[in-house]
Amino acid sequence: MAAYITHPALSSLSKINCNINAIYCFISFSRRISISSNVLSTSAVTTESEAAGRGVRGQRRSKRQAGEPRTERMTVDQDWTAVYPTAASFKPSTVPLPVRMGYPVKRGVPPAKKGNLELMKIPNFLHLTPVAIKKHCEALKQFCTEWPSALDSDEKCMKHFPIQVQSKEFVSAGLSLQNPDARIVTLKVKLSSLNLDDHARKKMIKLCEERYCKDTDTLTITTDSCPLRQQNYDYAMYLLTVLYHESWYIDWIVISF
Amino acid sequence: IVSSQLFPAACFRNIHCTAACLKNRAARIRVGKGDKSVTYEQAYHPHHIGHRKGWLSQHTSNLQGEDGAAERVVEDVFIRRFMYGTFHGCLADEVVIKRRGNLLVICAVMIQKLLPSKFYFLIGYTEELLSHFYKCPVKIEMQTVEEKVVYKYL
Repeated sequence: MAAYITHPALSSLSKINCNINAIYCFISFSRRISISSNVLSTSAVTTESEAAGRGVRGQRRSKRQAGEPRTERMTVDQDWTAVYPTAASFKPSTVPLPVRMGYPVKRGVPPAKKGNLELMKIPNFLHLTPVAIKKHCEALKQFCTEWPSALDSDEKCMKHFPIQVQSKEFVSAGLSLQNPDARIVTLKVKLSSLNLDDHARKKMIKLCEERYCKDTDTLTITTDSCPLRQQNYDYAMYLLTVLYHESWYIDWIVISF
Repeated sequence: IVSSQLFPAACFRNIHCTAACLKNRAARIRVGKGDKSVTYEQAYHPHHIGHRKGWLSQHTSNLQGEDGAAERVVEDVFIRRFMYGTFHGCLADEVVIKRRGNLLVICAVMIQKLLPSKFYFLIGYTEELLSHFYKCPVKIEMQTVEEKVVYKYL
């Protein structure tokens, strides 16, 4: 329908530039409109052009009939992903279901879907049907790689990748997408996976103080002093490296632990 | 020395003053003769929100640990007034505001008072201005009805 709307604007402009004969044309058009508006006109283009032209001239405006909703023309096996490709609010003219929502009046029924604000308020998942999700997955598959087949158990993952790094992503609704808490990085490593002898292990535990958990033998380093997550990750790795090398260093000046 | 003996020791009361809030009368249409038509939104009073009504504006700032609630409220108030003024006389019901991440979605139900071309122009104008004000993408999803959807008569 959008294509039809631009036409009357252009045609009315061209009609203004015409000579005096145009005014006689408009008067005859208005008479025709008053007869035809009583009947539902199928030629929406012509009535629209005359209505827009008469609106520009400032004459009596007749109400343009609204077309039928899209639900009338929907087939049962249509492509629903074309109707709701992205997240959108509920539109009663595009959802062919007779949904009712609201508290009913006494001895009545809940209000119908047309102009129903309650249905518009709630979030809907009409854009996430199984077919739509399958299409998303198919489109994303070309960017994914296979999980390495050698890493098929948790123990193997822990053996090859003993350091676990955790960081949080935040999604919120607001003008800015950044959240300062997203820079925090937590590094977890089991001391048994590090190459430490008896003295080094004791010194490491002494250096870590409360960051070491004895039950799970895990060292947890949390860094949030830098403004960026990459910087915090580098700092955490640096701390781990320094702790490791310091724990191996035997300082003869210290007499007892 | 005499004046300090007259005053009692460290006992003060403070008075807080606000404008009259009229919390019993806000957003309520009083029952009348039976000729006043009200929409579903107007018929139910604020204490029905969460029970029989939904929320007109949705964002994550009211959750635990999230900030920016006050800014969102101010934006909402401005957007409602802006919509009321731009589409004067065309609004059939309250404006619903949703926020999806950065995107600001304004859902409105309009009466078919203006020509569709005029509606399209006003939608574009609103989206452009608001996105420049708030530096975020703004989308308007509009529905039109022939006349106001009446829920009951008060």
